[in-house]
Amino acid sequence: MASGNELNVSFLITWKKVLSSKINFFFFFGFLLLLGYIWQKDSFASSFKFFLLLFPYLFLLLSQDMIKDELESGCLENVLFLEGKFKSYLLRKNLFLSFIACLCVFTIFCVFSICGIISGEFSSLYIYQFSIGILVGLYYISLGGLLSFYFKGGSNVLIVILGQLLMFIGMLFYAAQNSRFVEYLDRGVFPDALSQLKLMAFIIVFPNIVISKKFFVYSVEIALLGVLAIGLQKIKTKRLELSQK
Amino acid sequence: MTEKMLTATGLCKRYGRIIAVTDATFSVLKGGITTFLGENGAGKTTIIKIILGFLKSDSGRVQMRAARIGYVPEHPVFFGWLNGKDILSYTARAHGIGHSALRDLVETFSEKIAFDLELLSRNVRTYSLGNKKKFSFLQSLIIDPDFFIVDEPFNSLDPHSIKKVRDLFLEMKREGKTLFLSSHIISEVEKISDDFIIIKKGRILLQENLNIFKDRFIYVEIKDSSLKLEELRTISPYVKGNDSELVMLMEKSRLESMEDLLKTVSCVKKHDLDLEKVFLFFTE
Repeated sequence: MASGNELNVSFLITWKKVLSSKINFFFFFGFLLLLGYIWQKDSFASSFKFFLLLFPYLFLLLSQDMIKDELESGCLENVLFLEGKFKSYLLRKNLFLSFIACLCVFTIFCVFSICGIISGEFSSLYIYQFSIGILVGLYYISLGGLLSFYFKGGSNVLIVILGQLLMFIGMLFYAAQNSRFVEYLDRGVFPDALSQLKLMAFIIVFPNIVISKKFFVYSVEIALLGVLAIGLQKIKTKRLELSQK
Repeated sequence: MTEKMLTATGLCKRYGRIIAVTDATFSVLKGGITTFLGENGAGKTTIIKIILGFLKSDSGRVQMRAARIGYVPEHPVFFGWLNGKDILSYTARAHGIGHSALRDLVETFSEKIAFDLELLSRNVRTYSLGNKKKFSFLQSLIIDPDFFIVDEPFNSLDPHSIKKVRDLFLEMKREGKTLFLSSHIISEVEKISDDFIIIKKGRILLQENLNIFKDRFIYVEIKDSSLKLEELRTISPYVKGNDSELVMLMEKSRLESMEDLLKTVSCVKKHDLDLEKVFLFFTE
C-alpha cells in the first residue's frame, strides 16, 4: 500500500466514524446551543470566553473508543491492515482526530471572531487563548488515546472528567483548611517551588487552566505532557498484537 | 512449481503459559494450493496471524515473496460504521484501483462467489455470516492477490457457494496464484489441494504433496495381530495403535515383500489413502 493512499484510507475510516457517532453530534450541537444561550443571556465576551475555556473538551470527546474497542472487535484483522499496518492506523488516529477537532473549533472561532470584529469586542488575546486551547485539545487527544489502550468505549473520557471532578471536590475541602493555593490560583502567582509543583500537578488533571492569560507560561508543560502521551502510545502500539479472543 | 512463496522457520508463540506454536517450520510453494490441517486450537490461526503480521512470533522467521496478499479470516468482522461500498472503495483506493475498474472487478467477482450486489449499500454488520465471508472474499479478490490466505474458506457457506469458491480457487491456481488454506472440511480441500501440512498442538507433524503421498502409501488396518508394534515400526515409520489393533501407512512399494508377513495376521484390511485417513492417523 502506497503511503499516500494509506493515509487517505485511514483518514476516511476515522472521518466516517466521527460522523456516524450520535454522541459527537449531540455534544457538538449542544455546545453550540449553550454558547448561543450565554451570548443571548449575558454577552458576546462571556460566550467567547466560555468557548475558549471549554472547546478542548471536544478534542477529549473525539478520543473516546480510540484504541481498545477496535483492537478487540476483530475489525483490524483485515486485508487493509496486513503486515502490522493496523499499528500505524491506530497511531495516526491521533493526527486525524486532532485535525477534525481543529476543523470544528476553528469554524466556531472564525464565526466568533467575525462577530467580535464587527461589534468591536474582539481582542487579539483571544487568538493566543485559542492557540493554547488547541494545544490543550491536542493534549486531551493524546491522553485520551493513551487511556483508551486500557479502557473501552467512552470510559477513557469519563476517567479524565471524573479525575477533574474529584480534584475540584478535593480542592474545596483543602481550601477550607488552607486557602493559600486557591489564592495563588486566583492571583496567578506562585511564590515557592512547592506551590509551583502543586500547580503543575493541577495542570496535568485540568489543563484548561493554561488558557487563562495568567498561566500561559505553563503551556510548555502541556506540550511536554502531550509529547509524552504520544511517546507512550507509540511504545504501546509497537507491542500491539491482534490476539485471539 | 518448486519456487517458494513462503518459508516459515522455527516459529514459536506463547500466550502466557500456553504454548500455541512450537518450532513450526514449513513452506508454501508458488502457484499451488497448500492446505493447513489441524484440530481446533492446533495453532493454525496463530501461524496465519504471524505470517500476516497481526501477531509477533516469540522466535523464528517468515520469508515471503508476495507482491499482494489477500486474506479472508475465519470470522470476518468489519468496521460497524461502514457499508460494503465504503469498504470496497477504501480497499481499492489503498491499492490504487480506480472507480470504473473497481466496479468491473466487483461485478466479476460477485458473480464468481455468488455475492448479492444489493447488499453493498448496507452496513456490513447486518450481513449474515455467509455473506460476511463472501464479502471478505470480495474485498481481497478486487486487489488481485498473488498470495491468497484463507482461514476456514468454507465455513458458513452454503453448498452452492462452497462449489463456487472451490472453482474460484482452482481458477486462481490456473492463473498462477498461490493459495494457502486452513480448513476443517477435509473432503472439500482434498479436491483442490496440492500440498498439505498437518499441525497438532502447535507442532508441524507432516508436510507432503497430497498426490505423491497417496500414490506412495496405503492404509493398513491390522486386528488381533501377533505382530508387535515394534516389529511393524521396522517396516514403516507410520504405525500406531496397540497390540490388538494397529493402523499403519505402508509404502506401496514394500507391500509385495510384506505379503508373507501380513498373511500371518488374522485380520488385515487395506485401504487406499485419502486426506481424512492421513489427518486422523496423525492427529488422533
